Amino acid sequence: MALTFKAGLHLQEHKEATQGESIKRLPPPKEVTIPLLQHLGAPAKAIVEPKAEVILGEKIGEPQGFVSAAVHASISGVVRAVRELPAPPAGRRVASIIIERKEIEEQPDFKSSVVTLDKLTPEDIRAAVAEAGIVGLGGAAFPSQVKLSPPEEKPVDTVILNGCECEPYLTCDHRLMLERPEEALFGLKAIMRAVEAPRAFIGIENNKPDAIQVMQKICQEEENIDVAVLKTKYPQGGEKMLIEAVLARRVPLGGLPMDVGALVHNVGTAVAIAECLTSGKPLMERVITVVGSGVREPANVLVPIGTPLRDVIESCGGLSDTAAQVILGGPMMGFAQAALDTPVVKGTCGILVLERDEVLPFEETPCIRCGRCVDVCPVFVVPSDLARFAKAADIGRLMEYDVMNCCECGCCAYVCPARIPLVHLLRLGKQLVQTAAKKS
Amino acid sequence: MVLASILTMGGLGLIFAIVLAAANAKLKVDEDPRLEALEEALPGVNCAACGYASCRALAEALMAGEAPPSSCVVGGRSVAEKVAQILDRELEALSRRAAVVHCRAQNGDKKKRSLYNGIESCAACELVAGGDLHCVYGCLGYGDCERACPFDAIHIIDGLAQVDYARCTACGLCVKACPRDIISVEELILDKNFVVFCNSNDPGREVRQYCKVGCIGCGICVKNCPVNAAKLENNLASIDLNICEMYGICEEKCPTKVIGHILISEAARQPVSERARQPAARHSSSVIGHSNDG
Repeated sequence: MALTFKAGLHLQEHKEATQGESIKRLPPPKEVTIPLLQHLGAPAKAIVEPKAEVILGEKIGEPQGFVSAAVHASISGVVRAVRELPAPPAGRRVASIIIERKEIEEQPDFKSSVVTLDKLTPEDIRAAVAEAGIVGLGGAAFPSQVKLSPPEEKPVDTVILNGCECEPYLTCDHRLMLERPEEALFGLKAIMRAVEAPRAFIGIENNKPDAIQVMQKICQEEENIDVAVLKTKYPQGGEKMLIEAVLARRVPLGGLPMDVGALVHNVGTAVAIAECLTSGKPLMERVITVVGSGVREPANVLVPIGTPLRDVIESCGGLSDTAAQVILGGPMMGFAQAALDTPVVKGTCGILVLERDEVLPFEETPCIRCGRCVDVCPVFVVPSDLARFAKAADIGRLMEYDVMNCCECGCCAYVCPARIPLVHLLRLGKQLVQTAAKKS
Repeated sequence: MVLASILTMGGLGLIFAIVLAAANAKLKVDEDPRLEALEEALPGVNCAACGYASCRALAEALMAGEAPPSSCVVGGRSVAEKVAQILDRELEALSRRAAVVHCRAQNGDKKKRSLYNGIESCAACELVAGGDLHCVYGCLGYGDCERACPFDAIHIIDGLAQVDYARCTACGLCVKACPRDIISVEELILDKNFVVFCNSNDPGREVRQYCKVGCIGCGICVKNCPVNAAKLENNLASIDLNICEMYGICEEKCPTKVIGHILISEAARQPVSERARQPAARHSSSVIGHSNDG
């Protein structure tokens, strides 16, 4: 029987357009815009000046503090400018490095070599991951080396590799598991070694039988790694939901997975960790799904980080005539974008383009207290009340009712019959609380 | 029967009245009459711009001598004078402070880059990919400042926040509400206070593409100022009112008309204490435009 968690939603999956498309590499664009903050935490500091020449994979941003990540050049070329620009997904103004492509002869090739994990200490792995600027590629973009350094009093006994990909439309993790399972497994073993965890699971939803088969086959010889087959339900890929489903442990309110001895990493992150250990390649490109009725040729593509959305969409056949909304990420948790110059960043899992009749504006009506938002909320907050407090800017009650626990999965807004933009209001509420905390 | 009831109730009433009168005489708290006078003199809107929780709290601090007579930010000269008179203290010099919106792009002047149909609030709009304007510095026009203002002194007119200087009390609530930090409270010290109504650090080439009234960093104001009061920093001009001698050449020569002035005569404030108590002054702490019980 497939494992699952409480609450959540069964959504239409829309994965058929791209799940059979193998990953293709896009040519480097003419220009990339690389924000220095693509992760949670402190922004990196630019270590290159305008007009400087940079080569592929060169470090251009130094992490500032422990919760921060290095940033690398994703193409060879000349730094055109370092300036503040709104950075995706949410549009916060962040210093960004603009690199113009220029053919430079000495290109690093990042040839992979055989590495035996036994020879690496946990410190080696952490240092390599930090140097490569790897962050969680599932969307939240939390710096990976921080997750690989659990404090001593909270040992991690189980690592879960997250291959759920519960978000509709997206198929990039699915394709990675099918096409690069060895690297995913190697990455997982490296994570286990870094945190000295004896046990691991690979969580995959049961709508991806081919991926389950591939991963099961490759794990046959591994005694301590198993594939956990999960029921297809949104948001199964949220780390708290995944831990609940696989380990039957509940992460305490405001706590972290390590509080219950678990650690969750995304499949893409594991592949990136494997790459950085075997070939020294930093995180400078990623697989994204370009999909939706507004794109002519949906595909899974490997793109250099910093590539403008326009270039990515162009290489997937361009926008259809009725395309109306471009979303970074999936339809549930993604962020609508205001401009096509916006670059792809480390946390971008997909570009979804919807047509006009799919994004018709709707009118908000009063709450009828039906409680559906409460029923579906996987983190057990009360979205209807929180939305009211957010409207009234009542910071005290927002905190009292745990607005910060909201994971912005979008289930509440999806089911709301009154069409109240609940997630948008809750995000506003979270921001109010954060700004208030910062000021005091 | 009726008589017994009247006697009992009347008797009880009499006894309680005597007890209450005795308690009143014994437990009486002497309050300085000046405290009440101070409360009366203060605007009574409890905006907390002075740093105290309420007007009453400020009145107590004034009595204790912890706060200077001009502490009331919104009351201005008239209130400060009354307070000084009540406390019989010297009044220090006051200058006019007011909120200034550093953007003058109305709907026709600024280009939108996308269609936003979410919650009617600047903070909410800013959360969606950094707003719907090409300019990441300019006024979004969804009115968070207007809703934050307890004095009805700032309004969105034609997509731009505009200050009614006659009403503005420099309490700074709009400054806090603006997610783009366009508004600042400034000291207006001259008869004609020249201001650069723009906040953009983008290069002029880009500003020209999306805004008709943005500072393009051309430096004409800097070159032409006879007293060097204009400065150019990070593609944005600014004018130091402490140096300015009101020649007005910058305003005249500015190619995008982004420099303007605020006349102190127009900014002269109505006495707040009277107006704030009129029903016209409204106060709403809501951040969202349309009220709806969600």
